Amino acid sequence: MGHRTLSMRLIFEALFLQDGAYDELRQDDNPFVEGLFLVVLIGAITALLAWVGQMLAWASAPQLDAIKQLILSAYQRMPWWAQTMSVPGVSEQFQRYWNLGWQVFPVLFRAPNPMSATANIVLWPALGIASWLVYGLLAHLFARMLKGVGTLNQTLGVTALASTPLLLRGLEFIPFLALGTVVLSTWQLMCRYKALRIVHGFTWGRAFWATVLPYAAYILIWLVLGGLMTLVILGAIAALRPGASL
Amino acid sequence: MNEWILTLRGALVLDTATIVRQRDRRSGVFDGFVIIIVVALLVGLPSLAISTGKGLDRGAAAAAEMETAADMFGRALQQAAPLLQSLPSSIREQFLAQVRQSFQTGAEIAAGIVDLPRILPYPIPSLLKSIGDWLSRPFQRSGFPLAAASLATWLGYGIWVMLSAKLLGGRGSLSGFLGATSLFAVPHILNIFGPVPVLGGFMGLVAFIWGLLIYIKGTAVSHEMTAARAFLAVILPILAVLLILLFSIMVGAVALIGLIAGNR
Repeated sequence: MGHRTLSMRLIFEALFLQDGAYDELRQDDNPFVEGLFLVVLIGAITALLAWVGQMLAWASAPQLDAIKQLILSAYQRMPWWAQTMSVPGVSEQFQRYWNLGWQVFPVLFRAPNPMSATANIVLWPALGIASWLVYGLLAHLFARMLKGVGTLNQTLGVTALASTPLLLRGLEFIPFLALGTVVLSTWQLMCRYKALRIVHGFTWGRAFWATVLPYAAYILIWLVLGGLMTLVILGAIAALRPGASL
Repeated sequence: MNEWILTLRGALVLDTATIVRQRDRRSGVFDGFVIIIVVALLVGLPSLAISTGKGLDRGAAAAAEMETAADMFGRALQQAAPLLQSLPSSIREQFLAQVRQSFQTGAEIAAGIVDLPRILPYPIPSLLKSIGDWLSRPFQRSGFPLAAASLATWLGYGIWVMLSAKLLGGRGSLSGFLGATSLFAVPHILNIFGPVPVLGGFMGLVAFIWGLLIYIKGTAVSHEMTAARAFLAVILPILAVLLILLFSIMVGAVALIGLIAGNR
């Protein structure tokens, strides 16, 4: 059995950007396993804590159905309501968009949702692993192109330390606490920079590019996928038009 | 505790030795994190007290907020009045009546939502909301870079200043830079006067300028560069954003002119 490098001290030092933590994990006999364990642990623990906060927030807010009924009653008291609803087809259309809106707006305005908080206990670790692996693989590819000296195992293992800022999501056991995306995403970026610089022995410039190029690759991939999707949709619309021939 | 007080005092007087010590500390980033959290929470105490007080007296709080909203609505209508003068009077009156009706309906809905039952008994929900909002302060963005002690500004703006400083020949490490510049948050304790009319604004301005000077000093010390270069590194990200904005406006204007000319 290998030596366990991960510890509370190492996680704390990695979170606060101390070089020693990243170097220590780099020297582990199997950094990838340590990294995987860390990502899953952080995802699961923070999701459990956030679940508590979501339940308290849900219990503190009026039920969505009650709000929905209140607003509908107010509309029904408006002078234009009866006349508008008497027009054929309007009532059905209103009902359709009304129901659709009430599926979308609570998510958009981040209304407390116990169901999605429960699902996050599985989703957060899974998404954490996916995000870590995709970034780690791309970062290693670019790091090797920049003449980095680290192995894939080391790159993946040490970039897992960039999930330590996500520990702040554990604070979401406090209901109505809003962390915002800027703090977490910037802090993760800094940890990734540290990880790649130490694993591959880079100067600041190469470490910068190795850190940033995977994000550029993400954007490119999404643009290409978006473009392909648009073409498929346009093609389908053209094919479905009356008189169109295949 | 003594060391903390000496550090905070040294930061306020732009003492180089203090900032160098903060730069070289292994725990510099952690110390900076703590300073910003503590300052942000202290600054938020008056708002916490006010919102907790309002939360404890639900009826009076809701009535006060409705009155404030009605005042703001009335003022907005007054300001819009000159713009509506060009409309025929019958249409203008009809429009204003509909707008007032909509506001009234909105106010009734809001009052109704306040009175809806919750699972947790009153006043727990409003207390939890007040505490959640207060604890969120260190993570909120400030409207302008370095205008408030927040982690979002320290990290989010700091990353760009770090890049600018490196491009200008700076030699500092990321941890050293963050540790040294975190001291910009110390004067922002003056924002505790924020809720006070006039004085709050003045203190905010003093805190911003004082914090900016500490931030520039921290950048200069951590990157071993002159104050002038450090100043440039600090404002370069804002200048870059302004340039991009200006360029986008110019491109947009040229495209619009081209479109209009093409349609003629």
